Amino acid sequence: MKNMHSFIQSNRLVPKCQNSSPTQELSVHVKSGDVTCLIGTDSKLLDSYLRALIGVQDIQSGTLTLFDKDVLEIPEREQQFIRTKLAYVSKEAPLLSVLSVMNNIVMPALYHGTYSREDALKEAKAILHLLNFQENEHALPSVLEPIGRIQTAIARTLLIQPKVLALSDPWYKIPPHEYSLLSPFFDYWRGKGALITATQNLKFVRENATTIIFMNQSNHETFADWQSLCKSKNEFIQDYLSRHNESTTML
Amino acid sequence: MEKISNALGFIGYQTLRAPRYLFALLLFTLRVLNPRQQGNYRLNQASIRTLVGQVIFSGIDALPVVSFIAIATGAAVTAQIILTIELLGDRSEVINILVQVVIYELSTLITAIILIGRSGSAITVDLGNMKLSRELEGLEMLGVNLNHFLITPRVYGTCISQAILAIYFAVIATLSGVIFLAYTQSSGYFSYLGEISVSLHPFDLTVFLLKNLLFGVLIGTISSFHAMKVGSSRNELPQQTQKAIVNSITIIFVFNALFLLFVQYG
Repeated sequence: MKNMHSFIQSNRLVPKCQNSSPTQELSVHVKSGDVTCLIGTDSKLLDSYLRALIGVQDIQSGTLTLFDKDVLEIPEREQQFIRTKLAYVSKEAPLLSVLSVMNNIVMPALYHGTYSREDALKEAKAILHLLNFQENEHALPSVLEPIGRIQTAIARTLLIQPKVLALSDPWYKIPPHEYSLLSPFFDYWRGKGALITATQNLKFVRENATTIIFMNQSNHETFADWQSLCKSKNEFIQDYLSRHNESTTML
Repeated sequence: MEKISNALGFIGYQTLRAPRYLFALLLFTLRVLNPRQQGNYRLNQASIRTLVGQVIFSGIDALPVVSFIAIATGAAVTAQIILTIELLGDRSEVINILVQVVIYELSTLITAIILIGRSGSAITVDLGNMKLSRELEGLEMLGVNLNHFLITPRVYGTCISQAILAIYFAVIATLSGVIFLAYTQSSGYFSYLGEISVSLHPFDLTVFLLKNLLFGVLIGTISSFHAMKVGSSRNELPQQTQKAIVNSITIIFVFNALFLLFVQYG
């Protein structure tokens, strides 16, 4: 049954992958304010499901509705509009290497006509301040630190005013002591839209997730919070948590 | 038997390679020039900036090199044509040959070669690098139509630049040749300028303009087409750049010949 205000609703979704054959059927419902985290040992598998959930990867079986529309029935022209509402940032956070940080951030917004150039630049500065961006905003992406790259990639998506942010492990290349630099952004985003992420940063999952989906090739389980995850008797989950030095007795 | 069928297959493949390439290029060009991309006839703010950047790089930044080559062509070709044909025929024949050869043909072809070398290769490398490092994928994930944002403005930019540079080249090559002769032989050669301008027929000028606009489009689309064919290996970038340059030059010269035939016999 469709929820009239749901952003993403999947029913027994299995993505189509080139080099593997996932079997887990994922049913998930994402609405405003949700923080949905996909965790597990196989980051490629998690990324495939994440991309399938937001409609950028083909589906092998199951159904997917985005903003109450079946993804297979969305016309091509509307696909672009959907992409502005369901923004995705991959692990590598690719930016245009020939443009400065500021131009990278404003270009998609100028393309979609979200802002005029002057307003886009003002808004971009405000977002970089929110993200605690410390580097030169006129520098080229090649000289940015990993944290700077991911902050620029996130700022670029925020400027097109999405409703759902899908981030494929934004902490992937960041050293652990810099994880907290993204915290103010996640606090800001919590009231604005939905977040789906595939990640190995269990501290973030523990503190923020409203839905946790543990997934590997042979099984998957969905939990409403960290406590339920810790109480799980699933040996894969127990093993995963202990490998990440997370206590399963934490409450 | 297998060797014979392999040989036949090879011959068939090679025979169909050129038509397949031209057909794919035609479809690519039509998609790029489709006025209603993204549900919109107009270019957006971001695409206009790309267009302006391309016109500056392909057109304005190329003015010094086009000027040098035009002046050299004027001294070498225009002046020689005038001096040589004057010995063999009358003034009207000199002007006719000057207009047909220097203004309508040489200016188009030399400008196209300069544009291919400067801008065509740069477009292929620029877009090819973006494709290689998956920068384009990041843009597609944000709903950006790559044709509309990256390729169409570049094609329009090369189209405008080719037309303007060809006109500029024609003017400079003619002027410099006449000035060279006036300085080295006699100031009476200045009278050629008035006669040349009067003999420029509006129909021929229209064909000249259309030809240059078409060549500009071809240079832009061929370069972009090959850039989009770059896969995941760094080796493919120089290969596709070389193909873009060679194919652009070949197609431009063939189209030039076809234009001539059409105008003469059409």
